[in-house]
Amino acid sequence: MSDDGLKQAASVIDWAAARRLAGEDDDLLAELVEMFPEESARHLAAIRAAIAQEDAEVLTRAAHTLKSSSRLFGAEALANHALDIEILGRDGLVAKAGERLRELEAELAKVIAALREGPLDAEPEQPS
Amino acid sequence: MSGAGAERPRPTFLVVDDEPMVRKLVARGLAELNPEKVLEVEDGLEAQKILSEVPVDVVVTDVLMPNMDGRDLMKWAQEHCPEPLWIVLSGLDTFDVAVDALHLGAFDFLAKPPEVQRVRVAVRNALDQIALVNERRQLYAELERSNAQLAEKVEQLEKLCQMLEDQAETIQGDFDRAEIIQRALLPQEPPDIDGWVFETLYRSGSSVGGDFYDVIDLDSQHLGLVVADAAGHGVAAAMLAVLFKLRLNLRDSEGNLLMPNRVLRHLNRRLHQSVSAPGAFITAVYALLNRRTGELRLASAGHPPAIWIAASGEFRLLERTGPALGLEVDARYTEKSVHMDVGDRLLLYTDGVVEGAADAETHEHIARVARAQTDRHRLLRDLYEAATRGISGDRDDITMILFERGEGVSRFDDTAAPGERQKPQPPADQVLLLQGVKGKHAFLSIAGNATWIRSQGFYEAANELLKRCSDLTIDLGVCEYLDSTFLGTLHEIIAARPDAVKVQRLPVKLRALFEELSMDAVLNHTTVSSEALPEDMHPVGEDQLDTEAQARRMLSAHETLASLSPENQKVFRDVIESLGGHFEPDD
Repeated sequence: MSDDGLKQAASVIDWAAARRLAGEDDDLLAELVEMFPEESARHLAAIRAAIAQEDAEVLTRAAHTLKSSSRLFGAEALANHALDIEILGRDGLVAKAGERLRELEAELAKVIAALREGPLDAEPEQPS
Repeated sequence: MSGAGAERPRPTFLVVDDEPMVRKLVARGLAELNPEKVLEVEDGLEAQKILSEVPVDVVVTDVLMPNMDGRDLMKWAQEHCPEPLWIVLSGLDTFDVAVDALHLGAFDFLAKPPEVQRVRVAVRNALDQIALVNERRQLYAELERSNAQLAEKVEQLEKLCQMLEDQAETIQGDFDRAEIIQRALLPQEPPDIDGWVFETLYRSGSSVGGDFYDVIDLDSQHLGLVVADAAGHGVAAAMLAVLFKLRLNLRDSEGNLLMPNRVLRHLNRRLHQSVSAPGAFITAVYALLNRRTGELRLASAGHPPAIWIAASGEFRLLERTGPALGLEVDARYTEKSVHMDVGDRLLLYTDGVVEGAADAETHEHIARVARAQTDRHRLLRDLYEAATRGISGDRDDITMILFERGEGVSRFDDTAAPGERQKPQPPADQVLLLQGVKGKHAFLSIAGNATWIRSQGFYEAANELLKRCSDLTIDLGVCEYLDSTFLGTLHEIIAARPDAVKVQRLPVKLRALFEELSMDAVLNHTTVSSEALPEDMHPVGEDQLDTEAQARRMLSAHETLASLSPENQKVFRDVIESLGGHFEPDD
């Protein structure tokens, strides 16, 4: 993988924040990493269904939960996409939320990919 | 909390969040707090179910959840399940809701996403809080238990007091019966003897006395007169007097009359044999009178002098002729004799009449009084009153026999008039409250050491007198001491009726005390001149001790004193608080 790829992965999620959250417990972190794809898929499915059924309330709550989950790994970009959709949902702008779905899905795919790669800082962070 | 920590029961936690990863994170934080159980649910409805069934110590809950959110769950719990402490998870976007939760009584809130460490700290704080509350609850329970025990002790004490009172009553009953027996020793009626008149006065000090007297018609020519005084008074002295009567033998084995010196000598020997207790002795006079010739022979065993008063006014003291009975086994007695002409009188008495002041001068004073007062009955009354005046404590028995060669009515008086009857008195170092009225002017006198015990009685007596009279003078001329309750009470009485109440004859040391305590109302109503107390000053009735009224009196008196100056406030603050009063300094 290229240097670019490394940098991108590092900004997609924040391993240091995630480890702090987990109390420096790598086993716990590993369990959370394992849970994320399934949980996020569930929230994404809920978001899609809500958009299809134009259910603003379910949309808002599903986006909110996805946002919370993202922040467990310091996935700020993904969290911000989810927040945008949550706000649109709260404002009842379900169709507009649908337009933002692609971005969300793309960012989610990156996060999941980065999580699969695992914490690249088994060694201390490298100076760039 | 170090001590309680070891005994803490293991806690049960409930985590409420719709996000499984957050639940896992929180649960991990809780796992290290040695929990009994960590329960996890997805929303408020499920949490309700758990809380209704399982006792939970700490709930960690999200705010925004499907079905029932965190705020509604807390509202429900406030009413239905108030025991657990609540920690609310909240992101910045739900911060307002989190503040609401704090208002609903949440113990703490945690920012989302929650860090394991912070979860742990927040929940540990919650557990400490729970331990504190439990400890306080235990302390309260203990306090209540102690109070209950105290109440029980008080009750036991009251029972004990009742028992003592009952016993005192029993003992008093015994005294009363002993008194009846002892009185039976005394002659009931004076012998009717031509040409001689007898007058007696007998009063026992406590209910049973140790004095004894008798007038015995021995034969057609002779008359015997006995006065005796057993050491001390009360039951022991009365028993000695009984013994005296039993051992008193006026004739020899052939029935011949014995001379007074022989009578006392024999009596002394017999008493010495039967009584060897220290301090048990008897003084006595025996006089043998030839009623035809008027010759009188007399022997005296350590007894106060008999007084012979001639019709001419001449008098003689017939002093003791040997030691008191029961002290020396071989004591010998001499005799004295006088000739009694018509109009001559002889007075025999016990030392209760002179009460301690037994010097020659006192006896001569009695002799002069006896010479001046020709009314026999009045004479004995006067001597009795002089002997008892001003004595508030227990006094000695008093016996007097006066006989005169002449015509008249003989009288034996051994029963006190109802008002004169001596009741058990407080020890001399306590207070004597006297009251009296002259016209519309009432007087109250405080003698001795006045303490709280009589303060309520004093207060009531003053108010009672003020109802009937326009003026009340409180006389402190013979007052030794007033305790704080009495001081406060005195101040209250004057402050309530400044128009009517005055204080007179204020001793210097009490004046200094009044000044020190800023008792201006009392000082301003203290007169320089003083009025004589009424003749009929009599004791204020011993009130039944109503402890509740007494406690109120003490509190009121101290509050009065405290209100007089800032210094007083400081001095009496503790007393007032311990009496259960609310201390309010007036700034």
